[in-house]
Formats: sequence, C-alpha cells, structure tokens
Amino acid sequence: MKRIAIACVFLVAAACGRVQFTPSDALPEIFPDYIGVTIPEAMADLSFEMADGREMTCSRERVGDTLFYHVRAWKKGSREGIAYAPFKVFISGDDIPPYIAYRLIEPNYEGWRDMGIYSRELSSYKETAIVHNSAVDRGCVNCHTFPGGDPSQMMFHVRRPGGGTVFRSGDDLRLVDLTSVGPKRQGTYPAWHPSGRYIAFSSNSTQQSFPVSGSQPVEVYDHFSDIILMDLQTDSVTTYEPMFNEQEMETFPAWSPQGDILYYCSAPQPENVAASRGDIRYALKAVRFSEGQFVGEPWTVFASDSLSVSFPRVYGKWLLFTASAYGTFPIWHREADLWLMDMESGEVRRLDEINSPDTESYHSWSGNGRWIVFSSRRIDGRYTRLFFSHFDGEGHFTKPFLLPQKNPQHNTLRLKSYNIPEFVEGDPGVLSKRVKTMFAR
Amino acid sequence: MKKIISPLIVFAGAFLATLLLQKNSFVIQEYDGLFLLSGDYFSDMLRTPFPISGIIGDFLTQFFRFGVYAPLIVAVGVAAAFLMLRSILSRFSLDGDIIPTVLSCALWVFIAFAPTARRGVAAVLILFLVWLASWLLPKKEPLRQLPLWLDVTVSLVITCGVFLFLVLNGGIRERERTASLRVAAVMSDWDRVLAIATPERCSVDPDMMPYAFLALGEKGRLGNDLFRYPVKSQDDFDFSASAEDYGRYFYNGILYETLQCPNEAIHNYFQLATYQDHGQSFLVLRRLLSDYYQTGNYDLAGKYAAVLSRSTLHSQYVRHFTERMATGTPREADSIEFRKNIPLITHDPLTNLILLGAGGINAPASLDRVLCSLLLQRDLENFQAVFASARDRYENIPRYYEEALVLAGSTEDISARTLQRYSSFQGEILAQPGAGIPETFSDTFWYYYFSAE
Repeated sequence: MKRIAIACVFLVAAACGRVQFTPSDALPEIFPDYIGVTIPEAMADLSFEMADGREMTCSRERVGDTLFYHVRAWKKGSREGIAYAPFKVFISGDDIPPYIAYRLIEPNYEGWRDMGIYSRELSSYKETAIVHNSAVDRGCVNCHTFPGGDPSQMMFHVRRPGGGTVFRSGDDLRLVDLTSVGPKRQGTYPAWHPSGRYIAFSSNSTQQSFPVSGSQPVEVYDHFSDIILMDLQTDSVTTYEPMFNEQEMETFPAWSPQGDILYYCSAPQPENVAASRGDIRYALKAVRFSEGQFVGEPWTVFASDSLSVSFPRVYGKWLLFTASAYGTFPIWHREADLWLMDMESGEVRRLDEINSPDTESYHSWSGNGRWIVFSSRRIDGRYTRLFFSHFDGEGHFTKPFLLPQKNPQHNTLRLKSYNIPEFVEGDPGVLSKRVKTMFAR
Repeated sequence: MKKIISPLIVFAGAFLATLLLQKNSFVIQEYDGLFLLSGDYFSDMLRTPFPISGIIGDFLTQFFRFGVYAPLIVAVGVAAAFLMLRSILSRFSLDGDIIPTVLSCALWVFIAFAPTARRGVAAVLILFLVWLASWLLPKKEPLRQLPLWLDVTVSLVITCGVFLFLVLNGGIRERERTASLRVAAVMSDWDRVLAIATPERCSVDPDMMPYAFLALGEKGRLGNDLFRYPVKSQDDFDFSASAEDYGRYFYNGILYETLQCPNEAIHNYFQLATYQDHGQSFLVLRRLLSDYYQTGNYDLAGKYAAVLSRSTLHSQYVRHFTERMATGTPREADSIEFRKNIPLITHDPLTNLILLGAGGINAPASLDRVLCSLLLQRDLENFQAVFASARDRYENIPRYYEEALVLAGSTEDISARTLQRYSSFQGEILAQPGAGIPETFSDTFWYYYFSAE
C-alpha cells in the first residue's frame, strides 16, 4: 500500500513537472473567492480551487500581516499552464471568537429529515453536532442562542409533541413549555438580555406559501406576532401592551449591549396578510427596559416606504439589520441585503461592500464588534452559506470571505443550509445524549 | 463440476424470480437510495448502527435502476451465501447441499421482503465473517455423503418452492405493481401506466386512479375515458391532502411537471426527499437537476449536477445537462413587482389549475383536468362556461363532455349517438321511477351525476 502511495506521488509530481507555466499578470479566478479578503489570525487555512475546474498548485508565503498566494493552473492532460500573479490575503490583529454555532438543515419546504445545531471551531475544520434532531425523534431544533456568546449557557426550541424550549446552564438542562405559562404563547425568535436573566421572544404565527410560478419558490409571512418576556429566575412570562396587541405585528427582538433598550421590528396588522403581503413593511422600533420591565412608549428608529426591516443587531452605536422589499422572511427574498445604521448620526446605508445580488439575511457581531458573520445565498441562490467580514469601527467592512472548508467542493456538495450563525466564545460541547435522555423521560 | 449444480439452481431461481417478480421494486429502491462520494454522506453513514453494510448496500443500490443488474446482484448474493454456507457446514462434517439451499433460500426471501439492500448486504457480510472464521477450524470428513441426484433434486424442489411462494405472495405482487406504476410514470410511459392501472385494478386499488387519469390526460383521452374508472369523487382524481405522504409527493412531483409547473414539482420533490434516509435521493436529485435546468436556474442545476457526478452511474446523465447549460442562457430572476403579486399555490388542485392558467401556464392536459374536475364536482354551469371558451380546441367533443352538455340542456354539436343514448337513459329512468340508475349506464357521466355521492 505504501509503495502504491509513493508511486502515486511520483506520478503526480511527474505530471506536474512536465507542465510549462507561462507567467501572467492576471489574478486567478478561484472558488471560493478569497482574493484580497481580510481574515483573523486564528482562522483555518483558506482552501480553494480554480473556478473553471482546472488543476492547480498553490504555495503561500507570509510577509508581515499579508499572505501571498502563488497559484499555478493547467488543464488536465495539458503541458501548458499559467503562473498567476500572487494574490493577497490580509491578516487582522483583531481577535475573532474561537467558535461559531449554526443550524444545518435541508433548505426544504414544510418537512425535514436531518437537522442539527452545530459548532465549528474557526481555527480548524472541526464541526461538531451540539444537538442533532435524532435526539428528539426527528423533531425540529431551532433558534439557538448563547447569551453574550457564553458557551456554557444556551437555549433552543424543540418542536415536536411534548417539545418546548430547552435551557442550558452549565451542566444543567431544563425544558420549559412556554405555551403553559403567562399568555400561553409559543416563543419564536429569542433575544437573551445581557444580564442573563431575561429573554425576549417574538411569538409568531407563521405561514409558508408557494408561488405558482416565477423564480421565488417560497414566501413566508406571519398571520400575527407579538413580543413576550420571560424571566428565567421565576420562569414567568409577561407581556407589554405596546408590543402585544392586535394592531401591530412585532417580531425580531434584539437588546442593546447594555440591556436598557429592546429593538424590534413592527408592521401594522393587515386584514388579509396573504393578499397584502407585498405591501407589508416592517419598521425598526425600540422601547426602554429598566429593572425587569419595559418602560414608556416605543419609538420608531427607522422606517422606509420601500424597505422592510428584520434581524436588528446592535454593537455600540452601530445597528446592523437586514432589509428586503417587503415581508418578514428575507431568506426567500433575493433582494434582501445587509444595512448599517449609525445611531448617533442617524445615517443609514446599504452595505454594498458585503452584499451580493442574492440573499443576505441573518448576521451576528463578534463580542469585540470587529467581525460579523452573516448568511448569504450568493453561491447558488438556495443553499445558505456563511461569510465573515472585518469591521473597522468606523462604519466600513472588508470584502467578505466564505467559511473555509478542508475541501472547497464541500461548499457545493453539502446539501444543507447554514441557519442562524452565532459567535461563541468557547466550545459549547455536545448535548445530544443529554437532550435525548431528557426527552425520553 | 458436480458441486456447482445446486448453487447454480439457486442462482437461477433467485435471478429469474427477481427479474420477473421484483424488477421494478428494486428500481424504486434506487429511486429512494443515495450514494455519494462526499464527506456528508459518509458522516451520515458513520452515525448509523451498521455503516459498512449500509455503504455497500447503497453502492449496490445504484445499479438497480438498470434492467438485469438487481436480479444479478441478488442472485450472486444468494449463490455466494450458498457457497459460504456449504463451506462453513463442511467444517462440522455437515456436507451436502440441502442445508445450504434452505438457508440461502431463506436469505433470498429475506432480501425479497427487505425495503432496502442494506439488510441483505448485512446478512451476507455476517455470513462472510463467519465463513472467514470457519477457516480457523480443521476440515472434517463428512459423516455421510448423499447421492448427487438427491442433493440436486432437493435443491431444485426448495428453489421452485420459494419461487412459487414469491409468485403467490400478495405483498410482493402488490409492491411490484405499485412500483411498476411509479416507474412507468417517472419514465412518462403513459401506455404502460394505463396497462397497469386498468379500471378493474383501480376498483381494487383506488390509489392507482390518479396515475390513470394523469396518463389519460397526457394521451388526450381524459374526456373520453374518465367515467370508465370507478371514480367516486374529486378525491379520486388527485391524491387528497390526507393521502399517504410519500405516495402523494411522488405523484404530485410528476403531475406538476406534466402541468409545466416546476415550482410545485420541486416543492413536492423536496418533500419526498424528507422521507429518505439521507434527506435526499437519486430520483429527487435527478428531477431537481432536470427541473431547475428547465426553469433556467443554472446555478442550482449546476449544483445538483456536481452532486450527482459524485455518484457512480450518473456521468452520462449529468453530461447531458452540463453540455446544454454550457450553450444555453440562464433565466433572469423575477422583479420584485412580479414576485409580490404572484398567486400562491392552494390545497385545492382545481384552484391551482385555474391559477396556473391565469398565469399563462397551459399544459396540454390542463384544460381536460379543469373540465373533468368540474364534472367531478357536478358543476355544470362552470363546466359549460369553460368548455365554451375552449370549444375550438376539440375537433370532436369528447364523450363525457357531450354527456355533460346534454345534461345541461345543450344539443349543439352533440353526436347523434350521445343524444340517442341520453334519450334511452331518460326513458329508462322515467319507466322505473325510484328504481335507481340502471347499471347499463354505469360508465356514463349521467350515472356519476345522479348516483355517485
């Protein structure tokens, strides 16, 4: 076996050795496109291939904080190839959290088979299932969140008969059925208060619909939605009338870093949501929070006649959000983009440096506010992949780069989408067995 | 030479039985199966209790799509089991072919009833390990040697017995019939669909009727043949929302493809995939590649082509599409204005047909399906209106449309035969009031209209 391997190495080496390379000033066209991106120091090696499928070799050298990639490519069987001009990758001194967590799920319609919430170590290619839905009889596991990226605390929903919301605190796991307390409403999108004591949930009655023709396969809208507040010390759920009423649909809660303001999205409740779905636009609102209670009237932070806001995320004075032309579920909206608001100046701009012609949707800030991770469908229009970008603190992002995989073809071959990427400050470990035991009781 | 007669008999029996009785059942296994040289596929398999037999089983299942491969693989497996069993038993002085024949035939039956190849492969693998282990034992002299003719005769009798058991087994026959129907529909072999889903067979298995109506629609015969089938309501026309999910999604995927509504076909194929072990299958991947190519979504078609190229037997299939995509033009994404006003699919098939028509999607069979749905709903008023708007599409008015038009009071362009028959129908009803509808009219729309509730 060893001899065969050595022989193979010699054969490959001999094959490459016969190729004559012509130097070129052009940069190679590679997939994923890592040319000119900025990465953190602790990032797994960027693995790529020629976009047109040609054979290639690559060598890398580091000069200061810049990596130079030298790529040589040739057609299989050809004796002529091209030695491309080296391309640069910049290394930032800003730390990035060591892990991200996301859900992997087939980008299906109503049903699913396999799904799980996974962690990925960013300095390597190691991916681990935190909890797989085989632990809950193929039920749905979703909407995971970690307060402040703390890996020892976590929550996620389990949708199945006897399901509920699972809270992890260190080694303890407990299941709470939100529909049995307070206003008896199910929790959907969570926002964990920085103090760790409260979680604001939106409670959505969501409907999937399918256009008879055209390029958009799915439309999702809410029949109604409200915001509820859970106190983890007492397991009680309370409501606040301005965010729990029949006139408005409130969703996508997000806390300010200090926990004194809750941001959320809100739209007037139409009579027939399906019929008027193209005219529903969510505004970004906020309400004060003090000593465990919402205080005063909410105010509008941002509203537009042509944009519908979702997923507000705050770091310092910067508010990052997704905006689509209408509706509440940007993932199926090709025009959905990331936007940034300077809350001091009120300036809002579309982030053209990181958006693509396809969907950009969920996003998270790193704890130091220097990195974002966001989901995008730019590769094939359907399977969501994760991209990172560096933020300079002055309102500018660098060219985003795709989460590196050991084999770049994995990005194509993986038949699952990445949902809800969140930075985590450590290894969240594995919960599947304990969750299985908990649900077996 | 004499020693291979019995295993050859078992081989021949398993080969012929699988070929004649189960060929399509194995094709469906390929449709539902998946084998990919990808990291996620192998990670999934490593999480299963028996990954090696699973991977080998999935690998072999790929070949089931083509003619004689499944019978050949089953027969080779069964014959190999025979030979291993004979070798193992010889270590215990149990020579002869009778026990190996019995046990290998038991494996054959096990494979015949197994839903996937994985279990059969697991059984053969276990046997293989036992066979390897048996080499550690010393060879022993046989206790007594049966005459060759007796060994061969007993093997032949047992093999024929198993063959007969499979021929007579209702479960095997039913599974193969359903599989044949589905395979024929996937291949758009509408004559074969109609040969399987006959009116008589549909009265026993109403789930075959939607396939028959699909085929009749594609052949342009729906208006002439609908009520020859034991149709009782609109629910028999399509799979209702309460029908078994796998069968419904399988059928709906094909239906909406024929109706030129790839969005809904893709929707149903995605749903179908959730019933498979890996959340994906070869059939679904092939249909997604084909449908996305048809819709001009080359990004996704290219993805599925890349995924399928990681299997063993799809290179030609993938090349067919990649070559066309290389010279074709992808479709531009729709504008926001277009998207926000587009109608949404409903749970009512008739409404969906009307929405498709309103959206300019008019497959040849759509009009007949709309008209027949209206007949099944006994909605003569709307039937008349739709028919009038499409009258010029029919050179001769189909039989059941004539019957409906006559019932609605129209005689224009109606054949003399239908008018005469309607007259006799009325005559018989009036002659024996309260006696119900005469059975001689059971294949008419009038019979359905007045009696089938």
